[in-house]
Amino acid sequence: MASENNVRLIAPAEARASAGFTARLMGVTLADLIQMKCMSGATESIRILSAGKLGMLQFLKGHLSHAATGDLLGDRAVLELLHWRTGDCELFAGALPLGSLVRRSWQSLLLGAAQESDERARLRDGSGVHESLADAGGETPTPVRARAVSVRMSRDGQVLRSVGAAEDLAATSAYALHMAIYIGESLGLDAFKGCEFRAGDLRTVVVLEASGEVLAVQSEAEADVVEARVRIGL
Amino acid sequence: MDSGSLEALRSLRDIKGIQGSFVVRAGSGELLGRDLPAVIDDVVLSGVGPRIDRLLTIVDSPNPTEAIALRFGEQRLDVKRMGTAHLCVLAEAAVSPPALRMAMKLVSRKLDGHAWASPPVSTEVAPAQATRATTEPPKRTVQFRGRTTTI
Repeated sequence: MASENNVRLIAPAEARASAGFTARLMGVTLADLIQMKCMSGATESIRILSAGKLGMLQFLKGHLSHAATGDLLGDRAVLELLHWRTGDCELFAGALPLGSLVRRSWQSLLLGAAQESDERARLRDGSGVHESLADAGGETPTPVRARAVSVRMSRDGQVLRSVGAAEDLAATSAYALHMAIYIGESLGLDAFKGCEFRAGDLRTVVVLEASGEVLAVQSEAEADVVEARVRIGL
Repeated sequence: MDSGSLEALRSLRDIKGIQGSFVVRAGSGELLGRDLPAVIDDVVLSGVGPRIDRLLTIVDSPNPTEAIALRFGEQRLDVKRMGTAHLCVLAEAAVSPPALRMAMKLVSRKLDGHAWASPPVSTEVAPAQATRATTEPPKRTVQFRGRTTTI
């Protein structure tokens, strides 16, 4: 993982004006950076920019306390950030009062990210995994199984983007959406937010987003659907 | 629904956040039993049942859909497939998911062996059959190679 990463550090203007070095480190990974900050007991924030995506890490006295990217927070955000290959990092002294949302230790998170990365590489080599589900959702996870498919549709069922052979998933999701809304309205429930189907190892999650668009993800791997599931609070 | 099955459904409400439950027949969605507030009447459930049954069949997979979780604002509806029926549980969104899963598992185990009463057999002729009966030509008796036969 380390050889593929290339993170550039940019010191903020106020830091450049004060004592200390301004560093430009090529070939440094976010994992290296997290390790460095935790071991030095730093209280700092890091803003990460990568391929148009924005992420944030915050350290409080050497404890990785907060992380965010897209809709992800805490541990899931750290794991997602650790899969970013290239980008720019900007360091800020101090930490915002955001509370502590990162539950796992930094060692456990680095290990977890490395294991996920290894599994993705193994499956990619062995079974021709899809490139990314992100094309369908912008913030959906990279699939770890070849069967993972994803589709983003308008409320009226028009496919906007998809990854994998998603025709069946689009039809299933559109039908599920109509049935679920009918069921909810009949029972006098609040607005429909989404649903999950479990069939053997196969998980199908349909999310009705606030924008009115429908995101559906189908995979045999929990890691692929967990973010969509969190979005609808299941 | 017998008192034992009803008691099993009532036991679901021991879990904080569960508001009630009902059981529908697999294949038809017919309402078989309920433990829900009276505001949700049987007419509503008789319309919802077939939709729930259909939802369990729409995912194209080698394995049948075993469970569905639907999220509505501050509520959720969970459906679990049993042998010949589906257990449906209405709960607050804040319910503990592991506790909900365990409760549904235990109750479905109790209800799974239940021999649900068969639906009443209709004495009316189904429309498709009726149409076929009127369009089929009348049978007639003919002689074929010296024998009487009906065609």
